[in-house]
Formats: sequence, structure tokens, C-alpha cells
Amino acid sequence: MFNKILIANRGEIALRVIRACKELGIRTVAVYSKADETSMHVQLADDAICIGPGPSNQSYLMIDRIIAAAEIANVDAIHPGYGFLSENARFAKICESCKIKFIGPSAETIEIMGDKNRARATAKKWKVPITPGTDGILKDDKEALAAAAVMGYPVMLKASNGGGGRGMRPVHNEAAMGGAFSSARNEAEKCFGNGDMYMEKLILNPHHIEIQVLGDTKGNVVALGERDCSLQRRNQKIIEECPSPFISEKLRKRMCEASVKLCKEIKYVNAGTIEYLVDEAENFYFMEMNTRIQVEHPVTEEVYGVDLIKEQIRIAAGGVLSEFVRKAEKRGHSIECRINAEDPYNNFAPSPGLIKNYYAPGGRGVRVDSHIYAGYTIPPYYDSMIAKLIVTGNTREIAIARMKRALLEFKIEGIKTTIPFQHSILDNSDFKSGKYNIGWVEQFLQAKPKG
Amino acid sequence: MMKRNDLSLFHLEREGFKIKLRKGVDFDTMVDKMGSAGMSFPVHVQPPAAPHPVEHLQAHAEPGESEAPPATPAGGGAKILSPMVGTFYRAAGPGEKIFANVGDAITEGSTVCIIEAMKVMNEIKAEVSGVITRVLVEDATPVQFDTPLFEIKPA
Repeated sequence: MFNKILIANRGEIALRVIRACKELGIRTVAVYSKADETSMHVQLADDAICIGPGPSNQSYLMIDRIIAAAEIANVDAIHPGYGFLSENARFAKICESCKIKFIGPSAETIEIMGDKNRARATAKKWKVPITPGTDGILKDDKEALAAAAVMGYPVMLKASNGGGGRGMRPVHNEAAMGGAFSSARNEAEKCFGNGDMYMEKLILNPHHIEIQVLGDTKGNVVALGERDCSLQRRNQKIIEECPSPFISEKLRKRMCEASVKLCKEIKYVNAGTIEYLVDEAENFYFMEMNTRIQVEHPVTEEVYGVDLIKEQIRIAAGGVLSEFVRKAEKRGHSIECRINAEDPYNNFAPSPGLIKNYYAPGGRGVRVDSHIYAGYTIPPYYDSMIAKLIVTGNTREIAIARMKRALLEFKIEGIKTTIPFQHSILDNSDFKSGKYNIGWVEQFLQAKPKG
Repeated sequence: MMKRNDLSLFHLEREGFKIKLRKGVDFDTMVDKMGSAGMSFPVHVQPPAAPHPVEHLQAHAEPGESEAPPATPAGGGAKILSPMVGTFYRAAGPGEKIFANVGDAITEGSTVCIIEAMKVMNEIKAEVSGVITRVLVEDATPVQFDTPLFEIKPA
């Protein structure tokens, strides 16, 4: 087992990893930017090393400084969290060559599955159904138009090196293609440094259902059920559930089996998530694979009783999936609400600043994964998610009532948050009946009176 | 040279060493500006305990040295801060000439120390000319981004 781990991340996920390490008796090293000096992950780590000024590209994305920090702190392994360098194959390769264990799959796996276009080809190869789409990169909007003519509208333009919902544009007709193509390409270049585009058939009213997998170095792979992440605003997930209120037991079994098979074929090691789109007829289509831990991992943990971060660390240290993990079964229902520092009554404008008062909800079945506290100033450089509120109950009805109760208890004063917006969704009859899909939040927002 | 060519960052790599020069940002002023930009320290919570590498440095640094970069040095001068993460060395190798001693006159662009990271010895250059008034870090100690290395009285 590792003696010391460096967490190459910040905010709530850095805290999450530090907590798991502490429970495993592993020493922790935090890296932080100047803007994060007062952040909780810095305070709770055993050691902390400043790696640059606030902006991520001058700190958390600086591979050389993170590796230098790992060297002077003499760590055995690096946990990359999510975002930042977690799916950067070059970073994983550099860790390997510096004899620092990268807690995640191999650099090669990240490369294969990180390229969305290549991942589709891999899924297709192993008979996992994929959304109809182009096999290669589209050189320009002329090629895009030709592909769309064959596929039939509507289509979705997607960045090959994309993620997090960026570099995507739906196109409903020929006239819209030119503008959509350049807009998507520009966004992709800005976010990922790569403007390669491909195209998929746009599935109407899909559900976003993803399968959590864990693989070890002996080739064992387990699927720990699904998460329903259909509630999204501008391609950003805002609420996630486990299990999905939409899919049947039969579909769950088929999706889990397909996921396990794919992971075994590509020899996937460590934690990962395979994202699918599911249509109303319960056809499922491989969308992409995230070769890292996901933001919404807690709902799976609560329902399957598995600590996914500890499993990541154990697997990286050479451990084999335990019988407990391989035989884990779901129990109860869990919902996560992402709390963002945004003003839901002002088009979700970001709201960084000083948190004057903070009271987190508690009680049975309530879990708060957050790095914030009263007196903390949210820096403006990073994404707006400041807390994850996760509730679990024996049934979905209990979980919903518990989430509404917990949201009303949650006090974050001094900044605007999306707490009231989340509550209004939980209170909605469509949500209660589990009848929602990817387009639902936008429809809900358009129907709502402002303010 | 950097002024002439309007460079703010110059990066040169040759076998065995790497040079990175950064032009004239007055770190003290910059940090003061950051302080007044509303990034205040917590009111209700104890200030964080000093992260261990800095504590480690405290033990080796000159007595009475504050770890906070914004503190104005006694001589009314400037500080040379570390632009990277790594291990601080006062000379190019064991037994070699020390780059900067207290009292030495330093010209802008001359090497004041080495910071080693990932087996690469990076020569750190002074961004101002002046006289070294204090050496703040002991030889062969780890440093972080913005760790104060020297106090220098600008010419």
C-alpha cells in the first residue's frame, strides 16, 4: 500500500481523496494555487505545496510543477481527481516514467478511450451498440453536410477530444450547419486544444444513463449499476440518481453486461464510467467512456456500499477486487444535487465571493461533499460547483422527501446558489414520477416565470 | 535583452540545463493587489496551519523570517521569489562557486541560484540589479512557487 499520495486537484474532490487516504492511513500532499491558500483541502492535508497563481493553466494544469512537487514531497502515487489532468494521457505517461503511480487506468487506455471518436470505434469493435455516426473526423462543414444528408437530421456535432458537454452543437437542418460547425470547433479548440469534430445522429428525448465500472490488474471487472444523469442544463449535469427511475431490470442487466465485456476486452484497470444514451424504446447506445472517477460517484457509493475512492487506491496499489465489491448489490435509492455558486434568477450568472454564513444539513441519510465553510471566499478562477448534497433513503419517495428537507435546511449566505432551483425541480411532479429526459430541464426553465 | 525584444518570458533548453527568465513583475506589488481584491482570509476560522514544506523551510531559514511574501523587508528592498517548485541550490554543484552571497552586487539577468526539478537544473536569474541583503533559504531545501529566496536591495 502507498505511504504517501499527492492529490493533483482542488475543491471538494481533493477533500474527498484526502479523507479516503486518512482512513487508509496514507499520508497526503495537497498542491494548491495562490488563490486556494485558504481552501479546506490545503488545511486538511498533511503537507501542502504551492504550485502557482490562481488560473488553472498556471497551476493545476502545470504538469512539471505537479511532478516537481511529487518529487520533493517524495510521494508514491498521484490521484488526479476529475477534470484537470485526470484524463491527460501525457500526464499519466510522465508519472509512469517518474515511477510515481498514477491512480487510474494506464496512459494507453486513457489515450484510446479519451479520444471520443476512437472510443466509439472500440465500442463498435466489441459489439457495444453505438449511436449512428461518422467513422472519422469531419474536415470541414462541407463534409459535415454530406454526412448529415446520409444520416438524416437532426444530428449532433461533437468534439473528438471533448468532455463535460463542451464542443457540442445540435443541428436540425442544412441551413444551421455552417454556423454550428465553426462554433463547435472554436469551443473545442479553446477548451481542449483540439478542434477535431465528428458527428452522431441526434437521438430525440434520450436518457443519459451511465454504468460505473471497476477493474483490477488481474482482469476482474465489476459493474456497480447505473446512474441516471438526464437532468442537465446546457450539457452540465445538475441532479443524478441511483438507480435510474427509468430503466427496467432487464435493461440494467444488458447495459452492465455490455460494459463489463468492453472493459475486459480493453483490459480496463481502476474506476471508470461508460456513458450511454437510452431512447424511449429502451435501446441503448454507447456515447463515451470517462477513464476517471466522476463527480456523481457518491450516489453509487451510497446504494452499493462501496467506497470508490478507496477502491481506486487499492487497485492502484496492486490490489484485487474483493468479494464484497464483486458481489455488491444495490440497496435503497440515492439522489445527488450539485450546488453551484450561481444565481438561478439571473440566468445562472456566477456568484463567487465571501461566504458569510454556512450551515450544512444533517440527519439520517444526508451526506455533504463540500470544501466550503463560513468565512471562505470562493475564488473566481474555477468551476462554480461548491457542494454536492447527497441523500439516501430506502425508497425513491423517501429520498425525494429527504432531499427537499435537506435543501431547505442548507444555508449558504453571502453568495447566490442554485439551492432554490434544485428544490423546485425536486418538488416537480415530473421529477416525482421519474418522467424526465435530457431536454427536461431546459423545458422546465422556459416554462418557469422569471424571479 | 528581454526589454529590447519586448519579451516577458524567455525559455532556453540545452543539454544539462534550462534557463527561464521572467521579466519585471514586481511580486510585492502584485501580491498586495491580490490581497485587496477581496480574497480575504477567513473571519470565523483559524488561519490554516502553515503547510509542512514551509515549516520545514522555517527551520532552516534566517531566524525571525516571516513566511508571507508581502512583508516588506527591513532594508526596504525587493525579494526574489521562486518561480517554480523544486530543490534550491546555492551553487551549480557541490564544491562549486556559490552564486549569490550576502553583500554581493548582482546585475539583472545574472544567475542567483539553481532550482532543480525532475533532474533538470534550472538557473534562476535576478530580475533586478542590486545587492543581496539576505539569503532566505538553506542550500538543498525544497521550495514552492513564490517561496522567497533572497532579499535584494535594488540598485
